[in-house]
Amino acid sequence: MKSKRVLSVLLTGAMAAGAMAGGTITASADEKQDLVLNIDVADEAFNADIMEMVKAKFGDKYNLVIKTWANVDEIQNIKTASIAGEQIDLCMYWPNSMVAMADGNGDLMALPLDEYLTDEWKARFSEGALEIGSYDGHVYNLPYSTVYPMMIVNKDLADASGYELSEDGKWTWDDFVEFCTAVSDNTDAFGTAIPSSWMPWLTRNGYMQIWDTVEALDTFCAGETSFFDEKIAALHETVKTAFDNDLFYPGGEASWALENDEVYAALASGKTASMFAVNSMAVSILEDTGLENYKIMDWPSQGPNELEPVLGGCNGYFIPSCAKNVEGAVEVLDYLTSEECATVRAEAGCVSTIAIAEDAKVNAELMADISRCSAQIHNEISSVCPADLSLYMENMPANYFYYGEDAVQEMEDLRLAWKEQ
Amino acid sequence: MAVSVAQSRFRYEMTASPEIKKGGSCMTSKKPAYVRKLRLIGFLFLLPAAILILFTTVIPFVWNIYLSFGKWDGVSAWKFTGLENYTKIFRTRGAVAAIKNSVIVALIATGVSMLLGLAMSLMIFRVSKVEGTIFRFLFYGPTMLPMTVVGLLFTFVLSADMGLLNNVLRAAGLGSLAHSWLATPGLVVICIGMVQGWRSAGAIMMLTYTAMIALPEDIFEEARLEGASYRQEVWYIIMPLIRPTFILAFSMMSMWSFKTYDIVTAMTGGGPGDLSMVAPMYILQQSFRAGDFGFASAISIVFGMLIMVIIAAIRYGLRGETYEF
Repeated sequence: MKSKRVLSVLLTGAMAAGAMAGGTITASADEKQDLVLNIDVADEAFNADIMEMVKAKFGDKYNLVIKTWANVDEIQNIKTASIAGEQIDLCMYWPNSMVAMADGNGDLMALPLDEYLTDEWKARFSEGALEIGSYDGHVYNLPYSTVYPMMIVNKDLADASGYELSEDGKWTWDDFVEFCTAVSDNTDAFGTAIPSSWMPWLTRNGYMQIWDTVEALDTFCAGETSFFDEKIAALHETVKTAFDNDLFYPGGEASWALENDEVYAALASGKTASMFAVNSMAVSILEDTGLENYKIMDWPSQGPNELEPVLGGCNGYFIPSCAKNVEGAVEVLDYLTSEECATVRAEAGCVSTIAIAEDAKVNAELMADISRCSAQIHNEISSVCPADLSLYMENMPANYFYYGEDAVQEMEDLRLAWKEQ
Repeated sequence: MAVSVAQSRFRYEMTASPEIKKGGSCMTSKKPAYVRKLRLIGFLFLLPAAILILFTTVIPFVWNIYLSFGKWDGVSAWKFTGLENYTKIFRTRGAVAAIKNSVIVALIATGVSMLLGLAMSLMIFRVSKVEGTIFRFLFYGPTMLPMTVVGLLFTFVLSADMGLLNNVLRAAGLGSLAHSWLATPGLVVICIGMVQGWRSAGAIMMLTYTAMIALPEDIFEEARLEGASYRQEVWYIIMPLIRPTFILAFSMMSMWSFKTYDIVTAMTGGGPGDLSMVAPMYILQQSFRAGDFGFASAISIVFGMLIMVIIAAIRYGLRGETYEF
């Protein structure tokens, strides 16, 4: 009996030791500091190269923990980390949307970078770029690329359709509809195609462009205009009509559920004469589709606004207020916004906000085409409205197509709730 | 190792105190010391698991109920709002549609997986051991695949223009049956349910097949001597005897199906718009993207209760005699 007791005590001790070992095994003898970087943006063409460069440069100095960037959910990651006292030292986020990173008191959950930014560092950025990530006179986010939507047109099919594309790449929504109709009438292809994940741009862009004056645009962006406004109603109907008329590949309801790869395949095989895309992916899309005779067109203008506002923004990096290795974060930030990294990005088709090397291997003409609307990027309502309304806008225009006025009413209810707060 | 009743009684008599042996009072008023010790040891062994369940299930569940009665964005202070979040569910089309979609997906996925799984196990039970091993591996294959892989695979199978299914239909002269499988209201949710059911059928097959091979061979030999066909064996022997396993598999599959999330994310992302949004996805969106944890908690409570009611109703409907062999 006694031996059984001894055995049970030994077994219990072994279990306890095992459990404790689980907790202590992470306490490495390694003296390198942890550096947590939420910067792994999987869908960027240059991402893998940049991640490898960061690992090669800082891997010996820090315990690098590079995490996959969580897109809009990064806001919640930062909030959760701040509350739980977890470490995130550097994070990718849109400089023009940093207001979303405000805590309950309205303070940004980010460190101001002014004290670290030397003159040499500031000089790397293109004119006005640092202002995009500045709030209340302080720089919080350093932009590295400009991102906005545009279109890639198969010039062979455009020529076959008899439609003449404008030299400067600008066109209105009516021009775009005329082009799609000409393609449908004169070739076997559809006029255009858009991946479902980019579908909301059709209305989000329109929400900015439909207003006659800058004041009306600002009023809408402040949430003061009803979603039942006649201009918005006309926009919804215009977009829906384009789908009803089968201008979008492959016609019918199927046009609403396309993966990116399906659209690329359709462009490559000549099933569509154009596609909606994002400028930062233009180079990789052209490489993937093998399209050689192409024309970069701007987003078809959906209204008369004098600013010609375009949906979009920048990608950039900021140091969250929950950072525990600020020194390391600044070092990596300095490197990520260096000429070396900017050149790698530009060679992969990124429109860089940072100076690149003179001998960079870039297609200058294509770069000019995919960066010509950079100055037209304008803050949209989604940047300032509550998350639930912003989230709902991601379901448009599909929800309007399927649910009609009910979808507008749901959006209007969310706007009214926002204004009542 | 099993200890017989006789052995237990012998040990009890050898170790019990004289008072106990005399019988009566001690058994009713005070438990023997070793029984108390055994209970204590049992309690101690259960304690780690109980603590784990307390922290991972009970406390989050109670916390969820607490959150559902207020407004909380994850950062600011929680504010009591009473039943507002619960009434909001029924006023919000998106929330009701997401719950409805989840129920449809669950019913279809459970039906498809149970029928397909059972059919596969009955086929394997019929063939030789070697063939059975090969077919088991083949049929169980989809279950081993990650949900996201299955989802992406079927995205391309069901693609309207370039998808395998529509092109097979067109090649067979059945072009009129080709559809926008993932963009037609109603159809998209049915497709997701069927894919989920197909993917899970392997697990049901393994469970029911395991129950079948545990059946005594002599029952089948006797039935065959009486001239029973395989169909009669299935109907009169196999199905009644594996009933408890079948009900267990059914309950488990129902619970898995109601939680369907990843395959929807991979196949449609809840779209187009929110056409194929399911409850787990909607709950996550409302909590972590919209920052409305109170509303999300209320939906999860209502959805959880609905699952319990549906599963209880199904189990009640499937109740019946259990045969021993």
